[in-house]
Amino acid sequence: MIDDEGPCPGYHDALAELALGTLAGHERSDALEHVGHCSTCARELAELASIADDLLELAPVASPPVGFELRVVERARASGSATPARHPLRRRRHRRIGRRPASRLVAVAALVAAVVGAGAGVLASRAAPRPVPSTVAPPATLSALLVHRGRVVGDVHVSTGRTPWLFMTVDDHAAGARSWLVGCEVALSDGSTRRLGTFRLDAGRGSWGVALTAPAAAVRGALLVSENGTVLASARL
Amino acid sequence: MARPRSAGNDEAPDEALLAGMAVGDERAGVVFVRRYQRRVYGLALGIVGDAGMAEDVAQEAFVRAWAHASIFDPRRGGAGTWLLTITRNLAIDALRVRRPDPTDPADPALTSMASGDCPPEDAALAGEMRARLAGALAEIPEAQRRAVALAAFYGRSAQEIAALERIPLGTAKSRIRMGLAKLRDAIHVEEAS
Repeated sequence: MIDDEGPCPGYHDALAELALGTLAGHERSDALEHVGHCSTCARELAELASIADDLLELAPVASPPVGFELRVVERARASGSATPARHPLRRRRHRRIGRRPASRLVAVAALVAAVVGAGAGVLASRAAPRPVPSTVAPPATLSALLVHRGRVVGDVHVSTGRTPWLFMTVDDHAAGARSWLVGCEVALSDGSTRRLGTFRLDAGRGSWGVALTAPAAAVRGALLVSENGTVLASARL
Repeated sequence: MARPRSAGNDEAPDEALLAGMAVGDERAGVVFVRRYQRRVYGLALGIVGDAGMAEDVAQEAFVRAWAHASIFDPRRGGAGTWLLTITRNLAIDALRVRRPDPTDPADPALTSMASGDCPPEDAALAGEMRARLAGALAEIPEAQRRAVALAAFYGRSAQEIAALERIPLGTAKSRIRMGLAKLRDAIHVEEAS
């Protein structure tokens, strides 16, 4: 089809519903198959999906009950995703707000809102905002700019916690449109360097993270290198 | 051009925090939770309308994000969008289990979600994109705004929206399509200008 004609006539509705994630059954499979070989409809879908995603940002914000972050960490630990910090999470002495009473409060607020009108609904959905107190010690992270001949091409972050890690982001607009593999190395305090791994840059952009095998305290810098080991950029930590 | 920062850094980008979470760094996870908990909980509460269920949904969203941090691909969108999408899907699932019938159109949460309004303190935090989208949402016809909101926030299909609004299926589909397309066009026009 011709690009400037817009999406294919039979798929206008389906693309919008697909973008919103509400299309199901054969309509969904048919639409997905179509966008797989129609670049115009694929582009339309990507644009609509981006708007659909952004809509979620419009939801009202609200503070969760006190202790929320602690309970998330506990659940993450239970699932094996999180590793306890060296300095344990500090529990604050507070009385957790019971769920049922809180639910009833919201239900009452919603009922009031329904009677009074839509304006009150906004208030109901943002009920009881209050700051969430800090319950853990702050993380220790070092950050540095990744520099190539005086030009910033990215940044590097190293966490020095119990499970140290490094994260490198590259955004070099001068790199051209090609896609290629680059390496990430760390420079250690004893003067040696250690290759951590490789990742791909597409049009000069890419990011990559890895758990550090060397002690974070020994890391003095990070290097972005080509596959043959040529240093492309460096960061001093 | 080093930019060393010492302990207490809450400014690491989302992708860096997710990289830390992927290797089990609890402190990176805590910073990530602090950064997004009000938005995640707010979205969950707006959809399910119950504080207890909203907290369960919000917690599960963070735990899922933590468990899948290693496969997060920043090229496909921001971490915030990814996290909110997880939240929205979990909230819809929770709501369907508890309340299989479509959301009442008089639901004040829907009105709030679809109003395009946000209080000044939220608008200041939200950034330009959110303000522009909220403005565009406020400009489209109410029927289209409701259809888009029911689909975007509550996961309602065109069939369900047709039943809910007592309109033909074709009308529901048209409202969804036209509403979303108008939002897209409004954002693109602003970007072009």
